[in-house]
Amino acid sequence: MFSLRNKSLIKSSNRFFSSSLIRSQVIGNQTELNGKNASIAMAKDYHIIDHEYDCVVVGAGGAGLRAAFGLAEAGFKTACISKLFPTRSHTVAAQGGINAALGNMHKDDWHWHMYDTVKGSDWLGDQDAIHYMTREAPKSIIELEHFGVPFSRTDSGRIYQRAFGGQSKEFGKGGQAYRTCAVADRTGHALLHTLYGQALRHNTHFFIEFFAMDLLMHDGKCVGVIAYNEEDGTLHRFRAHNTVLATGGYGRAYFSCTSAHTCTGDGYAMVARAGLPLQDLEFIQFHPSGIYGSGCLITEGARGEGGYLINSEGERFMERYAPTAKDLACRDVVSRAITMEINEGRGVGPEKDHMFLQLSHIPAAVLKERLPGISETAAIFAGVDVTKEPIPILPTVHYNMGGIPTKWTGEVITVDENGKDKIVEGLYACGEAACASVHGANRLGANSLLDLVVFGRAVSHTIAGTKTPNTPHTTQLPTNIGHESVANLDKLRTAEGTKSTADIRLAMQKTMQKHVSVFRTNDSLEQGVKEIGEIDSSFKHVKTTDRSMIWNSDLVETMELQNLLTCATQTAESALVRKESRGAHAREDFPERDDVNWMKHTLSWQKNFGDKVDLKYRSVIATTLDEKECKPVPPTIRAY
Amino acid sequence: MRSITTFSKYFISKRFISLSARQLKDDSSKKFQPSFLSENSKKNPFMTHTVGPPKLPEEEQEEFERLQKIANSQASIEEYNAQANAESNSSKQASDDSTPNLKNDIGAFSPEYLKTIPEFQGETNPATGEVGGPKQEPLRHGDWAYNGRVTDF
Repeated sequence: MFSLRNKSLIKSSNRFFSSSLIRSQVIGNQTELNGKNASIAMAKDYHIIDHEYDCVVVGAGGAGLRAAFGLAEAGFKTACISKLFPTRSHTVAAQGGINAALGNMHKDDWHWHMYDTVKGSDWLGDQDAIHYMTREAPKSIIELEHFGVPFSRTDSGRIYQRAFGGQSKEFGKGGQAYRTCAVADRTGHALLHTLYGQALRHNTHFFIEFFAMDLLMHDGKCVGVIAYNEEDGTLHRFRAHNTVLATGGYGRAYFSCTSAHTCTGDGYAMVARAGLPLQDLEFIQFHPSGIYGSGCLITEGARGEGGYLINSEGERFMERYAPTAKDLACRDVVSRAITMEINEGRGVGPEKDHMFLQLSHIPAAVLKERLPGISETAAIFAGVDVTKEPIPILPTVHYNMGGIPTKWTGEVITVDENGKDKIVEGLYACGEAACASVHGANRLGANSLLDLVVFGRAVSHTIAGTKTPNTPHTTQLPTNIGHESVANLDKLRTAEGTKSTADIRLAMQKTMQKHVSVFRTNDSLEQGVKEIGEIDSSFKHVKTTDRSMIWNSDLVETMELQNLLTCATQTAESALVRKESRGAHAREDFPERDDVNWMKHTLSWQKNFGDKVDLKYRSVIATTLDEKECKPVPPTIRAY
Repeated sequence: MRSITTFSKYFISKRFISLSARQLKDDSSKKFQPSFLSENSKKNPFMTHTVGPPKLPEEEQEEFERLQKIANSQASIEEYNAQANAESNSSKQASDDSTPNLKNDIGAFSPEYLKTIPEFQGETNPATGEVGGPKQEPLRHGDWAYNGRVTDF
């Protein structure tokens, strides 16, 4: 009788919210995934698991997946670590196209594509990398096609190609080229899902929702990464002969950006903390009209069809900045004009930090016919009715041209004492996080997806060409390798400061948006460097509240903020010092491009978080891989 | 009591408090212990490997299953469909007005007015001959845009 009573009591007790406690620290049921427990001396409070791999890829976006399955296909034991489920990577949002001189619409030549890319880069791109990318583009696209990317077609069954900005025939003399391939309105989506499918097919070991914290460096070589498994709170050290960083951009250092909330420049900061340089961070691409708050970009067609920009005084200010073109002036001019108006205190909104795009004077029928979807976009992302209210907009970050300096092979480089390029052994980078540098000072439309696949592929080819699969790990590493990273995690997890992560992050984003965006003068940049320095040092007063290790998003966001601050500080510093206007870096006080003094890449070092930024320079590679195959493009004025 | 492990003690301590009065009267704790332990290990949701969320307490689970059965019956599906049709009819009437009413009754913008219009029907774009391409020309305004939203430029 008693036991019966007891049984009912158990059942009516509080239910347990999870039945996943048994989830072991070993991911998947394949035995070769088993990690070993690290020696207790490593960190007594944390459970640390060691893994050994041939290759480890950090990031599972377009570039990461392409590299990962390329390596798995070549027989390497490959791990892919991602803080997101792979198909949630930001590549999925790329609705645009991908350039390749396939010649399906007209006679085309990759040399012409190469010319356009060098010109687009404003001669800051390394011509050997551009040579490689444009030459390999058609092959890479056809490979993608064979992997199953469902490109839109011509009626004869070939891949359909569009005419996109910046693409020309016959070295800029033959008019508009039709070179951009696309999968309806979901190119990035189709690409990412196809690559993920291939990665599974080739038995890549995925470690999903693992936040990579730091590179493991030993004797100047990269020997792997350390990551935090958000699900069970364990730390994992991945020992690998080859580490590939494909972590994406750092748009989130700015208040308004199009990139996902996960684009926090983790790879950039990992490289910086490993004592290696970052390259050309001052080159950031902006779009003039992103919706305030969400960063969703409104088409230039809105201005093309008669929309205009107004400031807080209701003035059509573009008439002052561009008397003839007015609101139809080119993107950079519009972006700069908006920022100048905001800086002069004529911004709208409670913080006077954005502008209005007025469409309500256009008849509703015209809006519906000529700008279908604008009303939808404005309603969803700004909550306004375009027939009655203006859309709040401000210049928005879209792409980071700079990144981890690499050779055209994807190998990460630094410079030695004599200023010569030196390869960092065991470390590779690709995708937006890398700076090969194919985009130089300005990226051309539809060249970013190409960058992902070509250099993801290049990394796997480089490793497959120089290393052998299943090489044993013979070097004895210190047992406590990575302990600084664990100490940093511990410090942030138990941080008892006064400022919340979100407050510091917002201060950083607003400062970057105000001082280091499109309007750049010595004064504004000095102010920016000063303020970002203060914010950077205020990070020591950060406060976290979650002390656990399971799904501690507070901790992860704080680590991401630390990474963003590294990127932001170096961006501001690099921009201040570069005294010329080139591509996306436009200085009001130095409006001309200066090839004599500044045709060189900025390299920025910051060994420890919060250190002073060290700047050095590296010359642009103005020669191609093979002069017989492809001549370099000599610098001229970049005009379209 | 002493033989119960700390782990199970943690989960059942509350129950023991409410039981203690009875226990004192019956003084049958010796008989109770083993049966309870085996019960606990059998029912512990941490130890079971079922697909889906852990079960609710018995009565709540029964109610949940009963309601689920009703919701899956044909009658309720028809009722839902009738309701949905009535709603879309009423919104169609509203769309005949010349001034678009962008707010619906819960305050949001009604999707009825905001649907983007495909430029052509079927797989092939009659103007360019593109097969399987986008239903709106993305490069109409120079940048790569759908529904006025730019994704590349």
